[in-house]
This record gives sequence, structure tokens and C-alpha cells, in this order.
Amino acid sequence: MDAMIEAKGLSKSYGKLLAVEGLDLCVGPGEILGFLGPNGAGKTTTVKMLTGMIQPASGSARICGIDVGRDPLGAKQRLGYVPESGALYESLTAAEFLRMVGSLYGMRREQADQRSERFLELFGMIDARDRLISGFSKGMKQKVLISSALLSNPEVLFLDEPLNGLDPNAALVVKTLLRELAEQGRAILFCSHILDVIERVCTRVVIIHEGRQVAEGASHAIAAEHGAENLEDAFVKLTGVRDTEDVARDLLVALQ
Amino acid sequence: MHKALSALGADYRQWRGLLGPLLKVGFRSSWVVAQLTQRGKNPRLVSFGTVFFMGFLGIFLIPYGLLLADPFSIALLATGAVALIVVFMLLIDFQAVAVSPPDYHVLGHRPVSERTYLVARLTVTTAHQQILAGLVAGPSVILCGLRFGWPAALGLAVAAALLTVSIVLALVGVYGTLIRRIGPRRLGRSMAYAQVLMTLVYLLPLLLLNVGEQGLQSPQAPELGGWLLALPLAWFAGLVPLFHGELQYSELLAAALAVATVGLLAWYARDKMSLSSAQKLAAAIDADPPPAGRSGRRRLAGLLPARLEVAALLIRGQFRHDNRFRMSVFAMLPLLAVYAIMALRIPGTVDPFVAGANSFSLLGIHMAVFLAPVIMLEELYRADSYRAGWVFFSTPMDRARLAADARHCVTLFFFLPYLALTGLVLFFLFETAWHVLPHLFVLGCFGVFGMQLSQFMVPRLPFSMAPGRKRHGVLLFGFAFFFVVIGSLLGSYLKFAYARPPWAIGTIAGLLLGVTLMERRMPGRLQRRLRWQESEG
Repeated sequence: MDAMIEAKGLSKSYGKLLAVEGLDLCVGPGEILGFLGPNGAGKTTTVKMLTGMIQPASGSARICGIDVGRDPLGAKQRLGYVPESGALYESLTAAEFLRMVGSLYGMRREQADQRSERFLELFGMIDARDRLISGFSKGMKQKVLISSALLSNPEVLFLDEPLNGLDPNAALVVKTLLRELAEQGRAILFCSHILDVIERVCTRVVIIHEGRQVAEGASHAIAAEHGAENLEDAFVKLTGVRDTEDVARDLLVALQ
Repeated sequence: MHKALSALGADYRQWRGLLGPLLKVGFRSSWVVAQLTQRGKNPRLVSFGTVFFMGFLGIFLIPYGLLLADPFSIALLATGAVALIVVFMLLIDFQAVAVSPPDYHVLGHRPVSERTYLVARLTVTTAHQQILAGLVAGPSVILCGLRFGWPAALGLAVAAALLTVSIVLALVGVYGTLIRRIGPRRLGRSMAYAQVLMTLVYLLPLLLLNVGEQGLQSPQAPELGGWLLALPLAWFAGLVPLFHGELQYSELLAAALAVATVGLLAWYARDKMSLSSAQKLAAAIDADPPPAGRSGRRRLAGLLPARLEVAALLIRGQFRHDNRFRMSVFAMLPLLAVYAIMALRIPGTVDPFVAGANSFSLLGIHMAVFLAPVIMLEELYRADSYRAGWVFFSTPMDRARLAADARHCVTLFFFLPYLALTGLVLFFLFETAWHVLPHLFVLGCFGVFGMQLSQFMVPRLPFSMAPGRKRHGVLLFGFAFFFVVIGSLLGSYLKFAYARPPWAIGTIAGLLLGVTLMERRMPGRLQRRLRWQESEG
């Protein structure tokens, strides 16, 4: 199996803070990799290195066999990315934004318009296509972000909390869509804190803590390996600094 | 165009794809436009607002242009106005049109090269400013053509265009250097100060020009040469006599200096505009604030009445950490300088205590003092962190008291220092403190009354509204109109009253009574109106 997302010894630090240290990752065609970690574990930094947004201090990243450091534009051409937040020009309309994104991937205007219209229609946003994004709700903005990531029909997808703000119907559509996209042979890296979604959607899971990989495998295998009932318990065992029940008890004491 | 962009290493299709959207983002994110329209409503209305506003300014120059005797004077007036508007707009909207922080988040992971981005961003920034410059200088260009022939008009159009390019490159270069040399946190804190400094630097030549030549309307039209050749503005204005056919040494030297300036600035700014710069700017804006000093809190606690402490801490914290709020407050300072320059342009004395003073000479300064506190109060309602305002709505706090305290803090922290600065300007104009102090007191009462009136009409809680939403443009313009009328009458009335002590004392007493009565009625009004205000978060 040729890896579509590959990281070898990725490291990055901000001043004295070591954000990611010697991380190895490999996602093959048809795989949805759940990428988990507590806040500040280095997930977003890793994704930014893989998408060519920041340079790693050491190590290398490849997208569809293309070295992100050597040919960033070639690698970026093949990927779609749904960032966690703040990645829209809110002074544009949804149609204008998607047309601009299409042009950056070399799509013809008619093709981009046709595809974006279809996406917006399927997300129930066709009436809002000519409204400024600044007036959209959080869920509507998320739908525009997802549409922009899919617009160029990428081979690789990076999704950072893609279900944020989506209503249950839209979330279900996205989860089903991800499975279908994977079945077509795309590689997907899925970051989320909603562990039951990860368990249901992802074929494999990687957990990182303080910039290092601490577990890897199918979610039930990780749970079994660490003597936990499910992925959530295993996650707490691997990354929790204190027993959660102790913390809850101390909070109740603090109230008195 | 395709070949030219390829030679520059840029992708033509991507450049074309970025051009329209980035231009729209620049116009629609404009601060001035946000004052005129409600964001999120109608994209066409937003662009029309800018065009209308700038076009009005351009037409405003025509009566002045008709009074001037030669093309060089008209060129100085028009390029001065262009410099003023471009610098002001570019500094205020720098994050929207020059180095836009969202660029990194939106484009960083897409297949756009740094070179394509640089060329697109420079094209957009220059085009954005050229459109504004064209609207401001356009009427003067036509006037110049009708009065002195079309070659002179062409010269003015070229001068305005080159001046605009030079300002864009200068600001891109300076901010690019700042972004690279200092860390995000220091950059974030220094941006507001840099904005004021650079606005004043560009205004200073205008001030000098007026002082040195006793105003553009003097019978002796300024000639290009001597100390005027030291002003960059004059180099660009010097292109107009050159196009008009005056091939003299000073005109040729000025034109050469103008072209060389653009070349040098292009070289200086060539690598200062990039996605990584946008990333650093984004980091500067999102940077974690420095920890609040305990000593600062103690100082405040000692100086302020206890009831003001909560509002004071809130406003002080927001001023320290919210760049948008700080920059909007600092944007008031150049306004005062502009009106001071306008006052200096009036020949003769401007002191209302002196017989024969022009009653309208201080209209601009009066307007600045009346409107600045009202605008500051309006800015106080908006914040990027407006969602944090939920705390005012979900806790059993006294909202009316918080709103009133916030206004008092604006008076203490912002309006009084602003009034002191106005006092310095008036002292420069009147040359005697005995005339400045009573006049300043009268202006101060009007400023406080304006804030009271604004809060009385539309009471809001501080930092609880999204920036750019529900801006009371109509209210502000209503205030501006009201104060223009009051300001116009005030000049004549105060000249009359200052010459008669009982009238002067009666005026001051009347103002104090008005302010006191308004303050008494305020709590009830705030209680009634704020009870039903809803959280926007």
C-alpha cells in the first residue's frame, strides 16, 4: 500500500515549547485516520506541517508521494483542508468565495460555479449563496468550509473538527460522505474531540500527547491494549494528568 | 499581461482569480464603509458607500481649486488631499487591504505561490487606493484640464497615481520591517502608536506648507523651489507644471525625485508583503496579552471612586489587549490635527475673545471635540470579544450602572486627555491661556453633553456588540449634522458672549445645568432601556 499521507520524524518547536517531536504517520488510500490528543497536544501544528502551512524543524512530510517541503504547490494541489476556524473571507458571499477557491486550483469558472452550487444546494444553503459570509451562522460557515475543501475533488483530506456547529442532519451527511470518499480511495485525516464519532467513522486512530505519539491502531485494539472499556477510557488513561473522578470531586469541594 | 506575470514568476490564472475577491474584501472590510453601512446586509450598498464618500470629498475640493491661481497650487491641494485620504484609509484599513491576517488561514494551505500572492496583493492594494485617490483627485483633474489644459490634467492624474503608489509601498515596507524585526506581541501593541505616528508624519508637510505660505489661498502662489523641494508632496505636485510645459530645473528635479522615490520604495518593499507576513500579523492580532500588572490595578484602585473600578478595569483591559479598540481611539488624534490645519488656513486671528476673529475658523476643532467623545463611546460598545458580554446578561448585575460608569470612564480616560490636547492646539492658536481655559471648559461641557445625549438616545452595554454590526450610522450622521449647526452658530454666539462677561457666565452656568439635569435623568432611562437589551453572543 502506497501511503497518501506520510510523515517521518516530524518535529516543531515554538521557542522553548516543543509542540511536536519525532512524529511518524502513515495514511493509505481508503483510510480515515482519527487523530486525537488533548488541547495543546500538537494536533493542529502537525496538520499545518502536513498541509505546508508551516515548516517542520526536522523530518519530512509527503502527500501522494510528493515532498511537501520540496514541492509545496504540487502537494497542496492534491489536498483539501477544513481548518478549525477563521479560514473564510467573511466580506465575500459564499458563491464568490467558492469561485475564488476554484480558480486557485485551476478550475474553470463554470465548473467551479456548477460544483459549488451543487454543494450549497445539498447543504440546504442555495438561497444564501449571494449573501455575505459575515452574516452566516457557525454551521453555515462550516458548510462553506467543507464545500471549499471538497471543491477541487482532492485525493487527500485534512479535517479539523469538521462537525463543529453542524446540526445533527448535516453532521450525519458529512459522516456518510467521509465514508463514501474513503471507499473511493481517498485518504482522510480526521481531528476531533468527539470520541464516539471517531470510533464510528475512523478505520484507525493515532493518539498524541505532548507532541509525541502514545497510541496507534483500531479503536477497540487501543482500548484492549490499555485495559479500557472503550476509546474514551483509553484516551483518559493515556493523556489524563489526574483521575477524572478526583477532579470532579475537588470541583464540588471548591463550590462549598 | 499573461507574459508580464509569468516573467514575474506569478501564475496568471490564480492572480486573476484572487484579484476580484481580494479587492471586494478590501472595500467591504473598510472602516469608513462600516461607519456608513451595516455590514452583512448588501454588498453593493457597501461598495457604493465608499464611492459616494470619497467622491464627495473630491467635489469638496473644487471651490478651493477655483480660488487658486496656478496648476502647481491646485496640484498641491489635490495631492495633499490624496495623501491625507490614502494614508488615513491605508493605516486604518491596513489589515484589510495591505497585509490581511485572514490571508494566511485562507490561502496558506492552497496551491498559491508566495510570488503570485505578492503580485496579487500589491495589485489589489494599489488598485484599491488608486480608486480612492481617483475619486478624491478626479474632480481636481477635470478642473485643472478646464482651466490650464489637458496636459496639466494628465500631469495631475500621473502625480496622484505615483503618490498613491509611493504611499502604499512606504507603508508596506515600514510595516513589513516591523513585522520581521519585532515579535508578534510587541508588534500588536505598537501598531496603534505606529498608525498615529505615520499619519502625523504625512500630515506634517501639509502643516508646514500652510505655516510657511500662510495658507494656499494667499495671493502669492507658492513656487516650486527652496524649502518646498524638501517636501515629498511637492515632488509629485511638481509633475503638473512639468506636464504644463514649464521645463525648468526645479520642475525636472522634483519629477526625478518623485520617480526615484517610487523606484526606491518598490525596491525596499519588494519582499515585505508575503503570506508569512500575514501569518505574523495574524499572530500579532491574536497574540496573548501581557499579564496585567498588579501595580496598575492598585494605582487605579487608589485614584478612582470605588464604584467606577469595575468599568475602569474592563475598559483598561480592553484598551490594553484589543487592538481594534485601541486603534479606533488613536484614530481620533489625526482628526484633531486635520481640523487644526483647517483653522491655520484661515487668515487673521481665530481667537473668539478678539474682535474681528472669523466666527467659522474654529468650526473644525469644535466638531472634533464634539464628535470625538461620541465616536469613542460608540467604539466602546463594540469588541471582537463581544461574546464575552454574556456575563452582563446572565448575572444579576446592575446594567444601568455599568453603562453609566463606562461613560464616566470614557470621559476620564479618553475625553479629558483629548481635551487637554485640544487645549495645546488652542494655546498654539490663541497664544494666551486665559482665553484657552474658558473656551476649553465650554467645549468640554458640550463634549460631555454629547456623550450623555448619545447614551440617552441609544444606551448600550460596553463591549457587547459585534464589530461592524448595527452601527448607528444614522445616529452618528445626525449628531454630525446637529453639531455642524451648533458649531456654526457657536462661533458667532461665543464671540458675542465672551465680549460680555454676564453672558459668558450665564452660558457656562446654563451648560453646567444642562449636563447636571441630563445626568439626573440618565439612571431611569438606562434602567428602562437596558432591561430589554439582548445578548448578541
